[in-house]
Amino acid sequence: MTSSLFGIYNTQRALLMNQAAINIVNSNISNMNTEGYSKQRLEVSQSVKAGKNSGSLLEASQSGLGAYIDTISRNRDAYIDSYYRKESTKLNYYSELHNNNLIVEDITNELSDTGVNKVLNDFYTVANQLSANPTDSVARTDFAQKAESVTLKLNGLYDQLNNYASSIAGVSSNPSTFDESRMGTEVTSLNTKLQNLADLNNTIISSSSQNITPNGLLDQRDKLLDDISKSIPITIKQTPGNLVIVSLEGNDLVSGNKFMSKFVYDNKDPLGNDTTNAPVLKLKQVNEPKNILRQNVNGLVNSGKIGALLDLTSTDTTKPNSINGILEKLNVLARNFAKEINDIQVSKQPDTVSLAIAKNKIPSELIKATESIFTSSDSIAASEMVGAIPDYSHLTAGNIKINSAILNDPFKIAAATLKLNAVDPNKAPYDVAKTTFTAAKATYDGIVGTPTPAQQTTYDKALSAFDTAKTTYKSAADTDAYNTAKTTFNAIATPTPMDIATYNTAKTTYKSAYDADTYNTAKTAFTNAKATYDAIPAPSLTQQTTYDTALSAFNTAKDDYTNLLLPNIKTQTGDGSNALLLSQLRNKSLTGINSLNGSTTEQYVNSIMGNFGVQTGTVKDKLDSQTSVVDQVKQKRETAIGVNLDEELTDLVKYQRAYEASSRVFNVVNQMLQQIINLGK
Amino acid sequence: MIYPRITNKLISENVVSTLNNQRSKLNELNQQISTGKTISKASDNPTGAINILSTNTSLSKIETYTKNINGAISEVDASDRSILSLNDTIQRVKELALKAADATSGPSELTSINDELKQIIEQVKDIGNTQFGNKYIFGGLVTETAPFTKAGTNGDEIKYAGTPSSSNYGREVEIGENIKINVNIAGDKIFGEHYTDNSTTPATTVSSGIIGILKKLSLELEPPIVPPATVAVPADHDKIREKLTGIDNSLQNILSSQATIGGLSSRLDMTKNKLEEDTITLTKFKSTVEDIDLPSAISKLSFQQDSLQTSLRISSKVMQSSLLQYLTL
Repeated sequence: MTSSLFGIYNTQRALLMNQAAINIVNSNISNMNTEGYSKQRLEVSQSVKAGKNSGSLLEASQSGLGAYIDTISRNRDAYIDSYYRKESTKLNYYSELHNNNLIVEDITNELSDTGVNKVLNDFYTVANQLSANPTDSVARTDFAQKAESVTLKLNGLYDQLNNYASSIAGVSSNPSTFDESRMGTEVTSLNTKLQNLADLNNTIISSSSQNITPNGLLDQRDKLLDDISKSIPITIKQTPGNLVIVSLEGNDLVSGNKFMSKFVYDNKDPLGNDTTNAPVLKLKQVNEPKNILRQNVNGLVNSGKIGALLDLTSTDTTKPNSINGILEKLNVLARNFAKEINDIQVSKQPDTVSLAIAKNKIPSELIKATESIFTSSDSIAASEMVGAIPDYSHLTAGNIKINSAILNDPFKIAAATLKLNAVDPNKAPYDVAKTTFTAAKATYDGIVGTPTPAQQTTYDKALSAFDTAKTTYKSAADTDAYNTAKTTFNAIATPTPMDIATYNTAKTTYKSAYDADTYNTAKTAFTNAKATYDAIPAPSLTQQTTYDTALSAFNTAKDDYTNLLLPNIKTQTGDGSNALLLSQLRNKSLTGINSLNGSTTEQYVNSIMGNFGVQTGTVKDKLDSQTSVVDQVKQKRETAIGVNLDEELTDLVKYQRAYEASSRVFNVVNQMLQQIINLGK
Repeated sequence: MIYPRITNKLISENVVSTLNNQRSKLNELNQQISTGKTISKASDNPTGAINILSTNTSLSKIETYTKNINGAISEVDASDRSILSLNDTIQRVKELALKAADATSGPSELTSINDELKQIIEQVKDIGNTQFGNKYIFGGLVTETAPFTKAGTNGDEIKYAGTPSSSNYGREVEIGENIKINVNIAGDKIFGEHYTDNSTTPATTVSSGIIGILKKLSLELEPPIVPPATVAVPADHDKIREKLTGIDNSLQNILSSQATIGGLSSRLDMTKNKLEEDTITLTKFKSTVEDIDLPSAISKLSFQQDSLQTSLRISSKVMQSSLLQYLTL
């Protein structure tokens, strides 16, 4: 039996439904340019009535029951979303790298007329001029000034690059700079986004009722996830109830409405004290802020904007994009250049003595050169450079400096050479000392193994980590107590508050779980590093003394013999042979450990800049191809979620017509009712 | 056939990215044309950039060597001129010596010859003390003080105070990668010296080269009075004639020095020419890598401009069109 109201409710439903449809069209059109909005659709179903029917044909065939709104759905494809985010993470990585590489390339541009090569070329040219005119004060001043230009250029380049790196990573020795650095601000904004995500998940929980999805909130969350994936590579897992878990390589960052762990960017040691190490990215537990979950997640954040910033400021100087890598190469150049020039200036060859000019004598005379040309503005580096066995390892492109004595009196530059190899009966004491020394040196060189820079660094780092761990570490007894408590605790399936309290006491006694692990790791690392380091042979005390005595005897004999010969040749101030040696460094291929890989100074500069150019080019190519990948995915996604105006307008007409028709039906039904009411009159 | 949904936002985003792309290409071309270079940063063309960098290094080396050679040429020319005038002077000496050797020349004539000879000796000394800029060129490594100095009790002897030719006297100049040449000749080799060495007992007379010969000739022309004698021994024409051979030998020596200098000079010139050729070759090579091909760049630019214009025109049409223009609701 059908209702006597002739399905007037059907028509009412139809009117409401079409109204709702027009509302959705309205909303779609309003949001057609809204970022992250996904087009909504009205899903309509035919009304059916289950159960035993009364036998009427209409009911039996489940007809004439009208339609109802099933759901309002979003045009989303989860697969494309995740694909898009992955690719967008990479895109942001390359684009950040590229932007930074362009800046670094601008700073280091050798194709302009102001590069390192220009100052090196000027230096070698004036060295030639000096060799031709060793008594000319203009040539000497020019040489000193050009040598200064080299140091100023290297200093300037180093400072510019270093400042740029600091603007990204902060200054290691000043932890207050971390927060204002690019990394610091990126990390803060990332944490805010993660917090927002947890909050949004919470709102989604409270706004969701059965089977009904809060489309607007989901859109907002998708946009937020897009944003987060621009910064770091994340894994997103959908969970029931429209929630998501966001994690970084297995470390949950946000799980549902809980903000689990946040990023910290600092250089604190496990005890929370500031150090002078380069800052690293860490993961901290949110609800227990002191608990650092991961001490270093630099390796995990290998993509996205933050990944790019970490690469650029990586302390691993072998990384192709590392600014520190370029700085280190500049340092190597500065060290080699300074060492070679200083060695020629204050001759390190057994049979030669470099000679400067004493201008205060009339006529001017040759004297033994004592001042080096290059020194360092860093006092430790400067003192190491003038030791018995000069050590240039603390000299950097940033602190190389011209010796002010040379600048004040350019006649201290050694342009002349005294050769001690002539046949001379007075030479005997010198020859004897030389033979003794040569023998001692051969023995000594046979014993002393020099640790490679990598070995030294590994050892130093392991030692410092071990020291830190040691301070943290209390006693073996405590560790055992803690370990026992931990094992016991872990064995309990459902711990009571009592169990937890016991465990926490043990934990407090012992500091924290982390410390034990750090200590053990550091100890192993240190033990290994020490074993390698100890394997490097060292001379015994006697051997060292023998060597030192021979060296000092040799130096004395050399000085004596030099003083004997000097009066005979003191007027030969026109000798420019040592200056010629200085200029010929230009053609010398520098080989050996920490050297220029067999290139000359100029070739080395070219290779630094050339290789960086290649690297920048490679990143640019990757960026270009990644851009087109992301563009395609984005287009694909946009075709699914975007608003097409034609479609909406068609829908609008469609639903408007349906609304009109429904109201016509309403009129008909109404008239029919009128008819029935009038029947009895 | 299913057509993808093309949304309005997609169209506008595409329009923006296409226009951006075309504008950046236009900008790149514009930059290339205005700087005249295809490579302004190493990443524009890394291989090309490395080529340019190493060519720059070679060019700057050549520039240095050319500078060195120019300096050397001037100094060698100065030496050449000095030796040439020395040669002229010695020719005059030869005339005087022939005249003095003539048995008909009497004491008064010999005295006047000797007076001229003394002047010539001074002149030879002055030539030996030739300066180029502030440098004495014949003093070996001693360039700040005059190499030929007065010696002896009367100051009429000449001593060489420069680096002796027996030791390392050369001032070297680099004229090519690891190619070094001496630009100077030791003064004692050309000019010689004549002085009394009082450090030995009995005192010895050190005499060599043209100065030695001239000094001895002068002594023959006007023999000094040797105590206990009170009058000078008359000049011996035979002994004077003997000195002629010495003068000829010195002349030979000077000529050979002149040949050395000449050889040096032509070697420097040749090297300079070679370096100039190298410069041209390298510059040409650098230009092919670095410089822009203007006609093709300009045609590319106008092509790019056209396509930007077209894109703009089409975009404005595409973006406007929607059903909205035709609907009357």
